[in-house]
Amino acid sequence: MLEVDSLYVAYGPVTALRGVSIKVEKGSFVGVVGPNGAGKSTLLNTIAGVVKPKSGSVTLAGSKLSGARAEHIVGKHLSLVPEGRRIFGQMTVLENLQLGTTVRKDREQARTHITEMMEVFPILGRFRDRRAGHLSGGEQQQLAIARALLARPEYLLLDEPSAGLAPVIVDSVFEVLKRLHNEGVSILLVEQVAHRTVETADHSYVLQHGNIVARGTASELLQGGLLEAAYLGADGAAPEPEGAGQA
Amino acid sequence: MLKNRWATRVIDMVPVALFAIIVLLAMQSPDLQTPARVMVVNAVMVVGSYIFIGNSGILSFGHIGFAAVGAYVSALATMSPRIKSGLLDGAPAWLVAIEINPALGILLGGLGAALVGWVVSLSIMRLSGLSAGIATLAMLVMIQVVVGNADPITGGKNSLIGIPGGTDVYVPLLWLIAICVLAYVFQHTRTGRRLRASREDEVAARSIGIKVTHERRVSFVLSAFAVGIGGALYGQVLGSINADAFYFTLTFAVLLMLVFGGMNSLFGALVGTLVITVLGEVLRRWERGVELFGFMFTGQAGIREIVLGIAMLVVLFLFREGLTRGREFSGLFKKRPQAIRTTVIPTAGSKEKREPVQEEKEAVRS
Ligand SMILES: Nc1ncnc2c1ncn2[C@@H]1O[C@H](COP(=O)(O)OP(=O)(O)OP(=O)(O)O)[C@@H](O)[C@H]1O
Ligand SMILES: [Mg+2]
Repeated sequence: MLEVDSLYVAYGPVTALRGVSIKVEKGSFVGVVGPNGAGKSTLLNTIAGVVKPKSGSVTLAGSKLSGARAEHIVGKHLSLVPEGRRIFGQMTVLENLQLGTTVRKDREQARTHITEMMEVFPILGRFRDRRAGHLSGGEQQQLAIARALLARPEYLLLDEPSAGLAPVIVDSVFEVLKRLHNEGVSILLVEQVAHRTVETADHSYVLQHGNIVARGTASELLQGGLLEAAYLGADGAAPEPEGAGQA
Repeated sequence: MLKNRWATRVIDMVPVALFAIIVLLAMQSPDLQTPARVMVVNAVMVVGSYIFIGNSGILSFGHIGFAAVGAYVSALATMSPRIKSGLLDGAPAWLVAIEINPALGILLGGLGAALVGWVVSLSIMRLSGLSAGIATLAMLVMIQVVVGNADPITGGKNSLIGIPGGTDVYVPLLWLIAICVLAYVFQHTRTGRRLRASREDEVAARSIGIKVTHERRVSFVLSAFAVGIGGALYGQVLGSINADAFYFTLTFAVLLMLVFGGMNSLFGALVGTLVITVLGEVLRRWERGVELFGFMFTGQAGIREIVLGIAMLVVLFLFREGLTRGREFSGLFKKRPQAIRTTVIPTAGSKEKREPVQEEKEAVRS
């Protein structure tokens, strides 16, 4: 289980997280939604060791992660697909995938795994020798997810994978996530596409101004109107209109 | 696929061969022998610096410090005891007595520089970006101060003269080829690739488990070794060295060559060295005066620095990544996909079956 306990994070004078606690059971699909600036990316980056917390802890299967550096955490069965994809644009698709296996010791299997990945995401196989920077946004997102999966994570953290993508591509991203979940990968998904995320996840949290303001299953959050309340309470921004995330 | 990759590798080595041919041709003219030899030595230092700067993306102002270490270690190990006892007051007896083969001396110079690089890397590589660059500058100053003041060992401000090694161009040229192969192989190793990933995006690199500090240290030590070799060759080619030779002037000359050609490729390092050397030589001759059609043209002193500076600005303005735009030689023959592109949004109905073929996609994009 991945457990985040009363996490406080500040960037100088700006406090981004004010005592956030969440749990991701092994094998579950957990969503975190919230408006811009709520602290969603901060949460994921802190778990992945990119940002250091002021206080609070992150534990994975009972061992403490907080304090460790990013490059060591990814070896511990957790990997992050960062906001804005951040693939290595100058390198080829294949090189990006190979870099994803950095933490693995089983070289041979890792190589087979890359081939498998190119079957799961056919576009990556087709464009393996292209510069990753020349892929479209949706293709880059697939590459970012594939690259993270090549570290063989038990927990996959994704920061707004649907941002900037056309609705059909968003559909396929969600399809991929569901499939991964069925294959046993635990998922922590951060999104602004609130309805869609809450409906896909087993359990979701609503983050607002660095606080968890609501949590529950899709029906709990949607029926109680908690989701709308959270967004409206934030800065008057309504959740995305019905249907935007649906096919 | 595999065949293709080997072809690419062979093609990428073509500039090294061309560079060597140009040098050998220049050696035919007595007038050009010294500039040609110096160019080879400069190329070793430029390519050596490229191993770290090009792959890590961190601009180091300190690499000429490694050239100083290489030059002094090699010179002191190869000079005759008679000359050393005359130049060095109070030098330890073993230092005066030692006299090894010049070829071995070069290697020893490289290893000495690598050792210093390793020690320095313990602290500097923890820094990143601009602070690392400034720390390397501090390193240059420190090495300069030590070399310039350790009178019993280095002769302090005085020159070391009578460095053996001869004047032929083949030894430097062979070392240049070796260093180019080293640089090229390194950039294709796992470490090289990880380093290039961290150059593009350090946070993303760390978050997929790349130990950026470690990879940087490896390349820093390798790069120090290569620049140390360059320094050792410098001493042998010119026959004498002094501490001031390895300071800001040489640092900026080497960085100018690297940035001018494009610091992201080996091809760029070589092109930059060649173009800047030729341009510098032409301007130098002009400053001294040239006769054309019976008229005497004499350039203003200092014109060389100004023209080189302007050339640099023009290149950086036209191609941000230098003359070669970060490409290896084989990249010249590959079509560059367009940077500006439109995204194709498929309609919902076409989703299941429509997977555009590559040509089709390209057509839509251009
Ligand atoms: N590097 C930083 N320096 C200073 N403040 C920061 C930094 N990163 C984030 N913040 C601030 O912390 C708060 C939370 O930011 P965060 O990026 O976590 O939000 P988010 O929920 O991911 O937003 P979005 O949906 O726009 O991605 C914001 O107020 C932001 O301005
Ligand atoms: Mg964010």
